[in-house]
Amino acid sequence: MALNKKIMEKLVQETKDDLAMQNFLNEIFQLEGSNNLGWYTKPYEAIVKKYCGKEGQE
Amino acid sequence: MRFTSIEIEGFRQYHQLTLNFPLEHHRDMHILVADNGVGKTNILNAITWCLYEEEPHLGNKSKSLPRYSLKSKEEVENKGLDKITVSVKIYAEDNGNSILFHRTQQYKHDPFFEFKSEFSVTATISEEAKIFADDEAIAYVDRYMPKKVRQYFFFDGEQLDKYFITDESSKIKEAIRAISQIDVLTRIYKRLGELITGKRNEAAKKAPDIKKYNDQLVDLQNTKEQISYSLNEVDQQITLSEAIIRENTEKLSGQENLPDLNKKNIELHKKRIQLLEIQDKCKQKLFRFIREMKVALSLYPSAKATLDMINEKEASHALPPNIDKKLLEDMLHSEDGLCTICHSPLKDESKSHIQELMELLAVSSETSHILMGIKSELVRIVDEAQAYQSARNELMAEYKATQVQLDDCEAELRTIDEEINKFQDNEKIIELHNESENHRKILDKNKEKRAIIKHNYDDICQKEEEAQNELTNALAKEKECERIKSTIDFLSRAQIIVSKIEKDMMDEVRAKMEVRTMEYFEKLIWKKGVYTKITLDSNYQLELIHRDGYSCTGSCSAAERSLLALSFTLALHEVSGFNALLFIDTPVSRVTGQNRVNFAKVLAEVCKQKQLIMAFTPDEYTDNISSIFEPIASSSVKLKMNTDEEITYIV
Repeated sequence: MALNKKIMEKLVQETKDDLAMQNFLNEIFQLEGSNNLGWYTKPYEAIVKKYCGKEGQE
Repeated sequence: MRFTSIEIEGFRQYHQLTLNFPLEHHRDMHILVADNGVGKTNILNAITWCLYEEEPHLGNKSKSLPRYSLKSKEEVENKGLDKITVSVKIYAEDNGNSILFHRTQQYKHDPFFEFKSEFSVTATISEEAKIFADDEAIAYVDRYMPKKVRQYFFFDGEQLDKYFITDESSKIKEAIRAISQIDVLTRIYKRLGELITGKRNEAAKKAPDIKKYNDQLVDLQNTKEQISYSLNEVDQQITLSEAIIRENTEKLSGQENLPDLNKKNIELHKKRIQLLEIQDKCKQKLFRFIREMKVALSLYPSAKATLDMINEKEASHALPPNIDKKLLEDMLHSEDGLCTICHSPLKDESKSHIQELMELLAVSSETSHILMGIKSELVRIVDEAQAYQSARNELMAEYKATQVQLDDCEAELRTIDEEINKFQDNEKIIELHNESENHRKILDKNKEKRAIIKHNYDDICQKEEEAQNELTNALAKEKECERIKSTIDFLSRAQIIVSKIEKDMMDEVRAKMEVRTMEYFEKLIWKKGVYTKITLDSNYQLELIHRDGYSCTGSCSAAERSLLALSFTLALHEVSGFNALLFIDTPVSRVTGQNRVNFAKVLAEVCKQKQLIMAFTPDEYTDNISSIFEPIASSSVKLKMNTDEEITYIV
């Protein structure tokens, strides 16, 4: 089940000048909204690495 | 999401029961009618047991019984098996996707053993079925109908008018947070925080200075969290006290003076006792006086006559003067020839006069001596008897004055008693007054406590900011930590954004909830224009504002409160973006007369927007209600119990 639409709308509004942040939080929100969260640390760290790791820095 | 059917097997009085909920003529209304004890509430329990493994609506009788049906047990025994199975399946659909919620539990009856229940959710999306079990299945339910706010989906109609009672306010706040998924934001914020801490620790390993600043920051953040928790706790207590005071004030409207009346009543009772004592003393004094005067009064006629006679005889010189005869004799025969009174020589003339007097006294009778002797006593008796009336009047006046005061006091007591008797439940009123008084004291203390905690909180926030800056500067100095610093910065910015979205969402949801609840309420209520708005304070305490400006949530009728609860729920479902069903057990039980019909009409409107499953008793499902529901209901089912087997089935 998707996360509340209004939350997603607010996310877009708050991050309109920072697309990297928008995508990062979007993924986090999608992760929280999914039913496959499991042990959250790993999926979270994977997303952080994607946006803040070397590839994210480039 | 809507339920399409429920299959119950071996659950309490349901051996095998299937309830279908087809959607027809765009009214998703489904009726269940059953006598008390037949098991309509246990359908609600079957649903909540399946989804949450809870049976909050279980009656006292059922609590002591096993969950499995006796018929199932009998069957198992007859077949020589040893395990009884209880199973509840809820089939649902959501935007064309089907979902099956299934909970099953096994029991061994001899010796009795209860196995752990198993729960699964099967979601079929685009013809692909996916099965969720354990925590994932629970999480699935929580995303549709969170357990902690299940009361906003599954109602007991008898509780509808208690929907906004004080201790529910925290649940409302929690409900809004959960149902609007704002708690997801809180969770994300917390998880980002944990990631930031992890990154700081990573940096700390590389530079000892950073470790120091980081530890300092972590300590401050922990302290801040503790203070924030205390602040929240005090806020909740303040809200609770304020709500109790407000609610009691509403309940006690027009009955505020009872404590004063009771106080005055006690004072008057004391005064009455004092006056009775004074009156008793007056009475004793009067009786004593009359007793004392009895002799004087009985002697008065003869004493008066005797005294009059003495006075008369004295006036006519019929009585000899009362002269001491011995003194005269001593004077006449004194050797020195001197007067015994003035000691001057007695002249012959004087001697002859004394001689004359002595002769005169010799002829006076013994009676006249007695008369003269008792004269002074007679005077006393006569004076006393003559003064009796005025003294008696004085004492009587004192007695009467006390009686007047006593009469006034008793009249006042009667008036106060009448006033007090007008209140229907004095003990309850006094209890409410005392409760309010206690909460006023608690409120004052908590406000003081809050001010101190808030001061500490602000102080710790300031220190946290300073520590944060120190850490940032330390990180900046270490080249090796630059990448980590940039990640921390990124996550910190993410945290700020999440926090802002969370706050905005809470404010918006609250504002929209106020508006939508009022709009629903206005649409549903039959008394138009009486209420002007609905407000939710920061702790989500709901207030219904009367057109005269006062809050009347606690004082409006049971029907109005039920409607208010329904309006709030509809608004909550809408604002939160959920559209789950409503199951109401005995929906109109708290509403009577025309209000019941109006309430039924409202429910008929509600089912145009969402699925409504309602369970009635035949007494509740009267002709005027069934004539509204039957033509539009998509399904209507009557349940009956086979009393021999204690099994409920569809008629």
